[in-house]
Amino acid sequence: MSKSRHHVGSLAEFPLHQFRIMEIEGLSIGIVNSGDSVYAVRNLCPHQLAPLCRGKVTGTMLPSDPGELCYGLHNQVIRCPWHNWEFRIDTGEAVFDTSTKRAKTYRVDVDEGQVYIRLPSSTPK
Amino acid sequence: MGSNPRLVAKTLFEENRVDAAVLMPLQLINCWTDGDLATNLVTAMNEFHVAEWLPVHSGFKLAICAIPQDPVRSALEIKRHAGHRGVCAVYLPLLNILMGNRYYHPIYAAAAEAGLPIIVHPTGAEGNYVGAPVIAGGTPRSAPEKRVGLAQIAQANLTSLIFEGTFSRYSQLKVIFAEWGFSWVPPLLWRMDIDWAACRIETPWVKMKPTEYLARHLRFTTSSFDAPTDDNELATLLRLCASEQTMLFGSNYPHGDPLQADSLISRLPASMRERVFAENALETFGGRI
Repeated sequence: MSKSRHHVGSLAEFPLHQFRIMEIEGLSIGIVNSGDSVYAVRNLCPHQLAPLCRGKVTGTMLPSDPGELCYGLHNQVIRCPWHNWEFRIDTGEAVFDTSTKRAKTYRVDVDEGQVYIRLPSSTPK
Repeated sequence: MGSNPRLVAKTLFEENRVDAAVLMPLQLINCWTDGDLATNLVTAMNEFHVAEWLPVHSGFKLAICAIPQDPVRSALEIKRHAGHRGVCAVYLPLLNILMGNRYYHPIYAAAAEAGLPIIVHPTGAEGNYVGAPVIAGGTPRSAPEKRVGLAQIAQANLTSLIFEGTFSRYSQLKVIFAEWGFSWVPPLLWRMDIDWAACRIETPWVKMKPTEYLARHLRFTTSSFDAPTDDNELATLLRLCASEQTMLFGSNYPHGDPLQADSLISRLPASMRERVFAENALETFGGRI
């Protein structure tokens, strides 16, 4: 399936660790500059269709021994504003096997300081 | 458990052809405020049952009673009797402190080290006496209200055990919920799975879905039957409860007919009978029976 490439702005227009939500081909997509890379996540929580990218970009508590709290994955997680489900920003996977549901992600290219999102050509709305 | 070991032995082993019977001496000590008094009674009771009951028949096995008011003393008591042939479990009368609370850790540590499962069973103090577990919402007025409400105590304690990481800390520990029913187990676990996912950051030591802990760590008895009357629905319930691994035959002797001809026992699928009547117990008690 071929993908359509959409220019969404210059890298400088995407502040670190904050989703900017845009409509591209009728889809609401959140784009975030994570410093080392730029990621695009469908603004639709697979749990109950909340606006996922309006949630908090954060880290989370790593699996630990009882009584221990170990924070990690700083700024690599999006926490849904409705029910706190957490997904990796880079892959869309729910963190630590909390669910098999996955947030949809899209390929992002940064080319000479410009950001492009690739959507599958026949992406359903 | 009755008062005459010879009569009990005759009833269970001869008349009803039971091979092994786990003796659980229920006492209302979970509403006592004096830990020293409770210690004196429990330690004497344990000694009495080891000396006067176990020798009567090789089929008698004993759940050593813990002293809920003194977990450290309980650990010593468990160690004192754990090596005795015939001791197969630790019976824990419950206080109004949920089972996942670190308060109970000395008891779990000693039981886990000895390979003894924990048994919890209603004592009669629940919902009635200060110090014993309360029933949610308020004090029930009548006996049926209280009996129905007992399941809430098991639900809350099962939830606590999992979310407090008890089975992460004591990975070999098993807990037997005896006579609290079991039909409430599947929806409770569904609810726990949902809230684990949403609130995982508060309990990061729960590293797998709560449902995954069911067969590994939890057991329920056939006594206090609360299952549907339709056999197809019963089969579904048994499957959802992982009853092939989790269900233990409980005679509830001396309350009623040990083989409960008209109850769950007679309706168990034939494929499950060996598991429920024998194999699950052998596995749960680690060969001590």
